[in-house]
Formats: sequence, structure tokens, C-alpha cells
Amino acid sequence: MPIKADDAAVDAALIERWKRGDQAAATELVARHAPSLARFAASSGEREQIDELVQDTFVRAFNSLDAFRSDSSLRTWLFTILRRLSLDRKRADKRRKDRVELEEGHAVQEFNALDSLVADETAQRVRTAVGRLSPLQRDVFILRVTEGLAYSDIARTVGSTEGACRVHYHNAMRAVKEFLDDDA
Amino acid sequence: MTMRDCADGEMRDLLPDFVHGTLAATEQVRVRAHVASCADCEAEVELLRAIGAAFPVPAVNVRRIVAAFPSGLGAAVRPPAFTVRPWRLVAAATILAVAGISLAVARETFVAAGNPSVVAAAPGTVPRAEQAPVAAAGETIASGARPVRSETGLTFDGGLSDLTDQQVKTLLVEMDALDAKPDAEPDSPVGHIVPVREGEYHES
Repeated sequence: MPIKADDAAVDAALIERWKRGDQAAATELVARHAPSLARFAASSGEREQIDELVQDTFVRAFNSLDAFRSDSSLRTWLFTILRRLSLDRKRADKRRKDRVELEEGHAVQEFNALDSLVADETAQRVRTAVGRLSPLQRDVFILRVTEGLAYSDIARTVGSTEGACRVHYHNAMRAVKEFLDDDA
Repeated sequence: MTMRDCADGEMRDLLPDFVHGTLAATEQVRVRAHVASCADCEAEVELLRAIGAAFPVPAVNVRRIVAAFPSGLGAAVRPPAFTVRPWRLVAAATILAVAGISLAVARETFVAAGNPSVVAAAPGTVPRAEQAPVAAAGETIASGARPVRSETGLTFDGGLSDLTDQQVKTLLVEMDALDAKPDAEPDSPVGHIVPVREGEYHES
């Protein structure tokens, strides 16, 4: 469920409570954002230790909460941190060569493996179609479609411009449609 | 059936927000009306919903995540309290003590001199009053004033910018007269080198 504008105020209030020592506020912040972060991580190719990645994201964020700028939402900031951590982890894994990064070509196999757990055939095809996108296209597409982020927030998250993200989104949508049409 | 793109790009841009219900109320109504009359947008809305359903939220254990936070993480966001560490107190006291002693010694030396003059002297050199009566009374170097002699034989307690050209020259002459050699030769690690014959040397 995407966070609405009012929710930014809720986040701000929770942060203030936590700064005053209310540990329950930290739990509430995690409960509000962890599910979306986990879904984004999973859709970006993370298959293992998603909890750990989400936890690292919060630790990183909470450690530098004073540096958090209110011109972007906490949610966008968390997505940005998670994406960077995920990319770092993939690079490290790639260097160690003990993990194959989810890339075009491998995506179909990865999603096919996961799809054995998914009963819905439509969901399988959709996941495969999304998995064929380039990593950047996929991140933009997922953040727009499943998380409902605005282009401005997506641009902050992936370090690009609103215009470029809009183009990535529409190209991704076209590619997904074409794959599903061809696969039908 | 082949999915096509609606010609209204602005409307297509709003479809994800429409699906999430994050549009303003009037905008939501406008998009809903368009979707109801546009087969392409209707198909795209269905696709957006299918994509959302294809990526379910993984199970996340919030309590475990929070419990695994490093201790003191909450404290990291609180403004640091002002604390005085003991070693800082000791260091500050030491600095103050050294500064106080230095000031007292300097003051004592100044008072003992009784003359804020620039004096260069070496043990055994001619007294200043006899050698360089170049400055008139009231000037930086006063004839007849008792020269200030320090342990090192050179005292300087004024500013060069206060001296006239003549006084500077006098000062340089006096400095040249100083015996710059040290009182004793330093111990040589290789012994003394003495000439054997012209052009040849050996270590003794």
C-alpha cells in the first residue's frame, strides 16, 4: 500500500518520538515501511536474506537520521538506501562469483525457479516479463507500479531525472506488454 | 488480444496513481471516467493490478528486525549530551599552569631588566654603553642603560621595526662579534680527523 501525503507527517511524528527515546516509535516505523522495502528487494532480484537487507536499511537510515532531509519522504529515502545496499551486495556477490546476479537472460530462469511456488499462471508470466527488463528499468517500473511512487521520488531513489524515469517506465510497460502478447 | 497504448500520454501517466488511489479526489473521478470509456486504458489498469498481485509482499518479521538493531541505535538520533572527560580537565589544567609559569618568568625577567631595549651581548664582549652609544636617550637603545645579559648572552625584547637603520647596523655588528662556536666540540662518532699530509686525512 503506498504511503499517502499525510503519512509523511506520521513518519515525522514517529521520528520525533523516537528521538525523544520512545523505542516503540522505531518499531512502528519499521512496521510501516518494511513490507514495501522487502517487496522491492524481492522484485529487484534479492532472493535470500531479505530480512537482513531490510534491517541493514533501517540501521543505516536510523544511524544517519539527523542527515535526513525533509524535502523527500522517509519512504523514498529508505528505498534509496535499500537500493544502494542491494547494488553493493550484488557487486560483492558478483566479485565472489558465488552468486549469479539477476540480469537479462538469467532473469527468466530465476523467475521460473521461483514461479514453481506461484500458482497463478498470469503472475508467472508477468514476473517473467518484468524479470527481462534491465535492472534500472525494472527498479523504476516496480517503484512506479507496485509502490506507487511519483517520478520525482523514483528519480531520487535511482539517482536519475524525472524525465528519464518517465521514459524508463513507458519503455518498460511497452516491453512487458510485448512479452505478454508474444507469450499469449 | 494485442495490448495497445492509449494515445493520451498524460492519462497513461496517471494510471498507476489511479490504481493506488493516491490521486486527488477530482483527479480520481476524471481518470475513472476515462478508463471506463477507453479499452486500452482499461486493459492497462488490469495489467497494473496483475503486476501488483504478481509481486506479493514477502513475510517480514518486524520484531526480529527491530530486536537485531545494535544497542544504542536510538541514542544515535538524540543530540549528544555535553560531557566533560577527565583527561580534558587534566590537559586544560596543565596548559593553564604552564602558561601561568611562563608569564611569571617573562614578567620577572622584564622587570629585572628595567629597560625594554633590544640588546645583544655575549659574555666577555664590550659593554654596550661603551661600544655603541648610537641611540639618543629615549630611543630604543639607550646609551648608558644597563645591558640585559641572559644566560645565552643574547637578549632580544623589542621589535626590529622600532629600530633605525643605524641601530640595526649596530646590532648586526654586535651579533657578528658574538662567539658563535659552541662551548665544547660535540662528541664525534667517528673520532677526530687529523691531517696526515696535505690532501690526506685519517681518523684518530
